[in-house]
Amino acid sequence: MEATKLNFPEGEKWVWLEVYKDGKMIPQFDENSVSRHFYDIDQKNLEAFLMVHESGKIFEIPVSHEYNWRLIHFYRCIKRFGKEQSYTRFPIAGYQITKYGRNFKVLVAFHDDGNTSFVYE
Amino acid sequence: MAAIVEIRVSYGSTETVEAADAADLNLLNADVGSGQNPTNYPIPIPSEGSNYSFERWFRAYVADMGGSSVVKNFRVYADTDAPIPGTILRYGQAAAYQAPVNTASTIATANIPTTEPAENLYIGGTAGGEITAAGSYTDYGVLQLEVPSTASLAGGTANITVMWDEIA
Repeated sequence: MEATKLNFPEGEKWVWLEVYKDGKMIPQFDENSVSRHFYDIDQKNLEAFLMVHESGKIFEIPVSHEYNWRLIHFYRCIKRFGKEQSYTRFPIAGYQITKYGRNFKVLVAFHDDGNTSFVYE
Repeated sequence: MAAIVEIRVSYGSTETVEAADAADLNLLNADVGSGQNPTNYPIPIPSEGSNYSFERWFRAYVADMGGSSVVKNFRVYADTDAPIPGTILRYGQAAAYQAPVNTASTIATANIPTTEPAENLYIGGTAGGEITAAGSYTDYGVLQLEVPSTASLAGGTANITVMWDEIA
């Protein structure tokens, strides 16, 4: 299988990698640092969805095709005003399933230093 | 690539919109833009009843989508709803601008949330709205500080957080 080169544009510590059932792998950013759109991901044929830190650390978002499983990925942006202004942006990824008529979400935040934490919403 | 989202302050009896990210969201005893020295606009503690800051009106403005397809789910909260003991920091939202008042706001009527709320800065007047093109605004967030006669004579700070989500 041919190796897939991952591109980490400036400011992006984590990128996603789509792995499909037919073995095809598509990175989030192309060689020109242009991001794929989340809605371009073919979730029905996804074998694995990986979040990769620039250090090489890999976190796999479980993929299932039961219970109307849906992949989630977005960036959480936080701007603070007070004695000092600050701005933070980091990706959150996970999935949502519908079981017994209820939606359940599992979300993980991916921090710049490579650490992860669960997100409760 | 991140979208460029600015928090833009509006003020004046006829709306003046700041054309850049707000320097601050300070609550003052004058209807002026951001970047003022707050010691020049103190809100006096009344001998009875309450005084109010001028409402602070602001919106989020998406200057550049930065490759994102959607910007949404804006939320506003603070680390305290009493930046000075006895005072009350309130928040509300509106789809259309009104001149800021320094009487009890009819918009900023609820204590500002002090934990992450559900979406409370709408897009297009309803929850669940999305911005999909640069040059778009959210609705208005409105802040006001009530200073009752029982407030402490002190300065104080609330850290206001504006949070949103971007989908690549």
